[in-house]
Amino acid sequence: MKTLKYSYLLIFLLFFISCETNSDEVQPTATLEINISHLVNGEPVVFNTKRYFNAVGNEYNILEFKYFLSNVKLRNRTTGALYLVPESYYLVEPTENEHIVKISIPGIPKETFNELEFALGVDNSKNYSIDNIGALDPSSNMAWDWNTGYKFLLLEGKFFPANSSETRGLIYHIGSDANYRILKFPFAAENQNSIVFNANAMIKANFEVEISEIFRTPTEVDFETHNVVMFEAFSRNIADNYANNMFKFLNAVVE
Amino acid sequence: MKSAINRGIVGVVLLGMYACASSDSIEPEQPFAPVPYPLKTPYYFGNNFQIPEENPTTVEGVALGRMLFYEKRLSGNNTQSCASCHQQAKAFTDNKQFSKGIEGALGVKNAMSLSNLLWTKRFFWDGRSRSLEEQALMPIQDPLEMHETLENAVAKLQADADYPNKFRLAFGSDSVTAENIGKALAQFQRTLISDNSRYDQYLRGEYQPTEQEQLGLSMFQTHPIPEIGLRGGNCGDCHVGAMLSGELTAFQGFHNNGLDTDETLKSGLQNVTGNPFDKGKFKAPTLRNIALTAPYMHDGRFNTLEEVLEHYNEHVQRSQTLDPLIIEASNEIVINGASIQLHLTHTEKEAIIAFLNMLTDSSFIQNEAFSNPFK
Repeated sequence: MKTLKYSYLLIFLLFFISCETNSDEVQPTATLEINISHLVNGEPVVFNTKRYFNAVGNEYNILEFKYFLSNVKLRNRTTGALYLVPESYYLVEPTENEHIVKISIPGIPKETFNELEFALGVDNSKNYSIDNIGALDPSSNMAWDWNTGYKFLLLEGKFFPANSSETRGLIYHIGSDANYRILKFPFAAENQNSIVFNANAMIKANFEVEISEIFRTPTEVDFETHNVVMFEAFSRNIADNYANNMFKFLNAVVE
Repeated sequence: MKSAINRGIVGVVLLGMYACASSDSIEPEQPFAPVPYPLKTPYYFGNNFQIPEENPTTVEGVALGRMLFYEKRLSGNNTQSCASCHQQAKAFTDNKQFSKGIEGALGVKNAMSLSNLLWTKRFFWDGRSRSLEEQALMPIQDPLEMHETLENAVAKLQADADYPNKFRLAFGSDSVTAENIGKALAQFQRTLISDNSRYDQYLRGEYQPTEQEQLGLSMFQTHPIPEIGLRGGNCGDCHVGAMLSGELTAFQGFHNNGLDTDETLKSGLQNVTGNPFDKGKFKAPTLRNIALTAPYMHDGRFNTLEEVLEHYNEHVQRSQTLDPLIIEASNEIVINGASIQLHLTHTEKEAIIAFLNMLTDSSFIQNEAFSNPFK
């Protein structure tokens, strides 16, 4: 009953506030859609059946690939405007049938932004919690356990060594706070370097993820020595690789 | 007489208005008003489950499902119920390698333990069923199991003195249907939540594990990395989270765990997907109450937990679809071409088994709500 009274008070207050802006409806908002096309060597990723070669000539395939994209922000470096999408944690997982993953984010307030930011991984505040829900639900096999936190990026496949008939596993489970990477993508000249997020507009930010970059730059990885990467110091090199060049921002399209 | 007829007419009119019922029907004693069943789920299991909109869990539906779970008339010769092979005291297994059906023939897969099915998305060892509603009707019709037609099962229940009213209370109609049999069984099975093992108590901060259990837990959850001296048993790679079952997304909870070579490997998940890359993959079952559910594996080939650990430690067979995490599970640096071995010490194996014993949930197997209602 008490909450009800407070609600009335709140509605009353809102009414007054909204009168000032001369509108008694909820402000319409824009939607940001992040589209990510997952590629290996420039072609849509094919799981299981396709064999690939990395930069040093190791032959491999991919059985599973997924990662956390989180803490999406829109920023205007000129005006200082900043919008953090609340509770923005997404488990991105291309599948056999669909190499493009779409993340739809409604509720972006009307504003002019010139930079999109997100992180690869799970930030410290959520990384060690036992009761995370949604994309962070521990049943996704992205949680190691509650002391170790989440795998930020998981890539599993097989490595076929040149000198042996026996197949090895290719296992990259990258996590831990030190490997959390923030990525920033300024809007390009074709968008006049900034985009107005008008009410009811749909802004599509199109990305490519080149999975093979995990093994390429700046550290060229040889699976003979690094077919399994989890907790060891080398995981830092892998995080640097996926932060460096894996995401390619193609364009932003206003619809 | 006249007034009686008048009252009768008034009655018919009222019934027609309010219930659209025919004039000769008897007003039911209890109205159809199913009460939502309060499913209590521990927060650390997560919320990755969906109850079908068309089959909400209700007190009446669960009560009916419990009766049906123990109802032998669902079998061809009225001798077996679901509970014949899924016995509560054995965490809903029968401790047999293969179960005998009503005609004495043996099944081809080990009867699975039932718990925390609310979160399960694919059923059977090969994942061929997508829902509990669908799954529940399959063993009834399987010639190697209860071997009854749905038509006969429905007729038997319809002719019973009590069931039609129980179906009405749960689903609004006293016509027994196969669909509602499946729904009621599904509702009951969603209530089979096991969350009070010593492991749960540990997760809730109510139990301090022994040193051995602590080591077992750590070994269980860790994938070994010999290069940095990190030792592990590699169990948690497939038996994930607090439910210790396979991953819930699509078929990611299905793995080839190296039981057989390419020549002898059973098809498993390939039966369902048709994908040769899924050959020999089977559902990673929950390990809850695992100490109560011997024998182990889809074909019940191992009688003890010790034998299971021996398998993962030194008897993994190579094949095309062998899980990469198992290929790379070793506590010693792997040289290309070497056989697959975990290299666990005796102490570590015993610790893992101590941890597995922590998963026994005695309040689950004694819960009156899951027991035979006819006793």
